[in-house]
Amino acid sequence: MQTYSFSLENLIGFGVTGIKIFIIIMMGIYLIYALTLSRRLKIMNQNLETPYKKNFIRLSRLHIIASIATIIITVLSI
Amino acid sequence: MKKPRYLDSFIKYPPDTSFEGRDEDERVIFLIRQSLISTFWWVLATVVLLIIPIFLIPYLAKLQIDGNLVFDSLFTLGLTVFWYVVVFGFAFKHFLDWYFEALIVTNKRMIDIDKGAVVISEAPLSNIQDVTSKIPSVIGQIFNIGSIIIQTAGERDYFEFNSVDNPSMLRDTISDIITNRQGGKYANI
Repeated sequence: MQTYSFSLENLIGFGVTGIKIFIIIMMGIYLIYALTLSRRLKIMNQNLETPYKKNFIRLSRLHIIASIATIIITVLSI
Repeated sequence: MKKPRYLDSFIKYPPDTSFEGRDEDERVIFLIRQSLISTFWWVLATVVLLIIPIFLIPYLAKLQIDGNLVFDSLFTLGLTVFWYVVVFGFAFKHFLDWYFEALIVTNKRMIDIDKGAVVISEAPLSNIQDVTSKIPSVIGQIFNIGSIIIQTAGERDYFEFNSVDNPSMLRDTISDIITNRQGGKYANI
């Protein structure tokens, strides 16, 4: 029968992993926000078309890509 | 140094600017945004948020328990990048809210785009009855920032646009456009 020892080291390890998982969940929620912002920008650009329309779309896409990249980096660190 | 034109609070004949539902013979005469000074609080918050990791991240990177690092370098990197992405998202969202909150006056109507293009109302120029400017606060008087209130004969009683630069000048310009419109000057632009 397998036994588990709850040493301080194990508890800290669980705590750190817990923090990491919590931050990854936050990153996932943030990705949803970034996607919503992108959708909202599309509506904004429809309602008021300006010369910077394409720049805003590029920035919005970059924002989404960066959000995904942070999730990947953090998942790799677990 | 002159600030870029797209950041101006008042742009006359804005180039390449259009809106949904614009008629072919309709031309944007001017576009009004809130003063750049009204962006102060979120610009300041962005700067503060950008500075925080400079102090926080080295501490997290060196955090040890029993001689072992709590967070590995990859996680610290991910956290740092995430922080800056969030700060960018915060600044970008507020910039867009400022940029897309505009009052557009065309040769036919006036369109008020509010709350990041979520609330849009419009009134034909012929319905505009009265234009008022006011500078209610001390800060407004220091920076010459105030509101313009445009009363209309339509379903919506009035349009109020806050935190605009030089509201007296704007009131005068809008009044001139309406007067000229009635005289036919802008009718065929």
